[in-house]
Amino acid sequence: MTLRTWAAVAVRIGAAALTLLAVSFVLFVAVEALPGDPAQTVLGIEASAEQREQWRQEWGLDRPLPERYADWLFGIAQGDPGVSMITGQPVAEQIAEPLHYTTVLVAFSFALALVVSLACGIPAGLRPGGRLDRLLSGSAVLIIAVPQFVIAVLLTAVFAINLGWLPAVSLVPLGQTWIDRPDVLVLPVLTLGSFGAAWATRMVRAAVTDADGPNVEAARLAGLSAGRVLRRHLLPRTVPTLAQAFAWLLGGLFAATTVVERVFNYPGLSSMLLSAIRNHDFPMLEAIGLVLSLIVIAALLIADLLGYLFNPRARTAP
Amino acid sequence: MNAAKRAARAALYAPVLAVLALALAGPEAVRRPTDILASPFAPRGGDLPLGSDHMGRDVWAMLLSGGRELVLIPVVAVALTVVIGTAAGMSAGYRGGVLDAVISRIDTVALSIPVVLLMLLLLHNRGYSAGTMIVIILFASIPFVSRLARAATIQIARSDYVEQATATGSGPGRTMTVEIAPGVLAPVLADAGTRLSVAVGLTATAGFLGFTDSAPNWGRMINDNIAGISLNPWATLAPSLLLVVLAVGANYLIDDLTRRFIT
Repeated sequence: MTLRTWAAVAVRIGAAALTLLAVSFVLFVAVEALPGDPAQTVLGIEASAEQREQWRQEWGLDRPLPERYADWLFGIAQGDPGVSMITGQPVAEQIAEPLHYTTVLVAFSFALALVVSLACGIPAGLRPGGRLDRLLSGSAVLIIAVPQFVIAVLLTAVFAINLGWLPAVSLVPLGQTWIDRPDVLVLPVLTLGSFGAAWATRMVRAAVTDADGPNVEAARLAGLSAGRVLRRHLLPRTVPTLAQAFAWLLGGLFAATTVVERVFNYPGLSSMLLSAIRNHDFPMLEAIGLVLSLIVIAALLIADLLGYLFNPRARTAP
Repeated sequence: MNAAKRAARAALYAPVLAVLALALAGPEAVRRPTDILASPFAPRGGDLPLGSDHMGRDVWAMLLSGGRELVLIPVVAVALTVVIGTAAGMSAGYRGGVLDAVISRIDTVALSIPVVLLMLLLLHNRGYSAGTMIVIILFASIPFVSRLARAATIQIARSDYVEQATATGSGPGRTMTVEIAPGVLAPVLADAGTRLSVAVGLTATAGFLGFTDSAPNWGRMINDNIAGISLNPWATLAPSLLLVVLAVGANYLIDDLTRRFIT
């Protein structure tokens, strides 16, 4: 890579860092503006106004917002998101396991989306307007348009309640992990993965249709086999677009986990998030929000960088 | 258009229009949908065409009165989104410079905050209301429209006919509205169907997550009644079906209308 390319990459990373800073501010203000007093949650309703005021002082909640934000940001920069107001435990320790569960959910959903979208999108894109294309594209629009929780409820109705094959609630017994109980993952992954697969199928189809240009036609006319044309001439041309689309998808799946996790009581970040909202646990809320946003921003950055590095024309544009 | 195609289209539209009519006019047809008329999850039959829900209320009456907001809030929010997003994207694309940098950065920041997270915070913070819901939808959809409009504007602004218009003395205001806007609206309106589906989904999700008090709401009905799905499946399946037709149908309807008016 040339010096100019490095500089452009550095600018994009810097821009992503600025975005993260802005997002952190929006999140902090949105969280700290929550009505309700965490002091009351912790101390109970019997606590006197004085006791509550003292508690608020201990936690520094009486200080002005900009000061608290600066403090919090300083902590984050050192890798310390603070301590939960409810449990008194370090936030980082408490969100480690839910984050792991959310990541597992997203990883399987992403894999499902990847496989299904390539298997459906490539044949659909090779014959745009054909019967298969109309069927697959129509189904994709349908799945994308239906709210996630409706898909989740319908899957639960069929596979958990009617057939009884899978658990309706993703409870992992104490002392076990998802490796011991892989069945709890099936319905959440199907719900989130079906959305990802539908979205990605449209992307793959569009990329294949776009790539099917004069060069590919020339390779066909030269008498190369269909498989060879596909592998050597068509698919390589879709890589830049698809790399970008799948990076986007990864971020989108993380952002979309909240509803799925809630429906199945899946032990990921969202169950943590919901209880933190109920308890007004500010440090916990801010940390979870920041982690989710950080993942989305990182995915967007990767998509942006891939698009830039794969596309020589973008490199010459300002 | 031949007769077979027309029949196919009517078959597609009929359920969508029926659901829209039910959602919009339904609240006028029932007086007190939340009256308790039977035991919980009573099966369908007699006075209750779709049985009763988890509290023993008439599922059919709840359906009639629980869809209007799911239509009105998304329609208003998406109309605002199209206007604001197009204006922001066109200004960014046409003026460039600092304005472009600021608008593009705002879009990126908004896209980086998970919508459902923001929705949970705002609904907890301010409570559920049509206004709050519209703000959330605007937040979730303006960045997409703005980016789309910006890209289209940049492309069109380079074209020959815009240069000609500028050369023959068309000012920036006139060029934007007369020469560029029609070309920008085409991709924006083509995308509006998706925005409407997303908006219906978000509004129903707010209900599903239990934010809409006790007022009837299709999303909320699904959450309330899933526990009794083996006793009275209609209490869960009927609102699910209506939501699917609404979300998907809204998308097709807008797509079809824009295609007819633009091309």
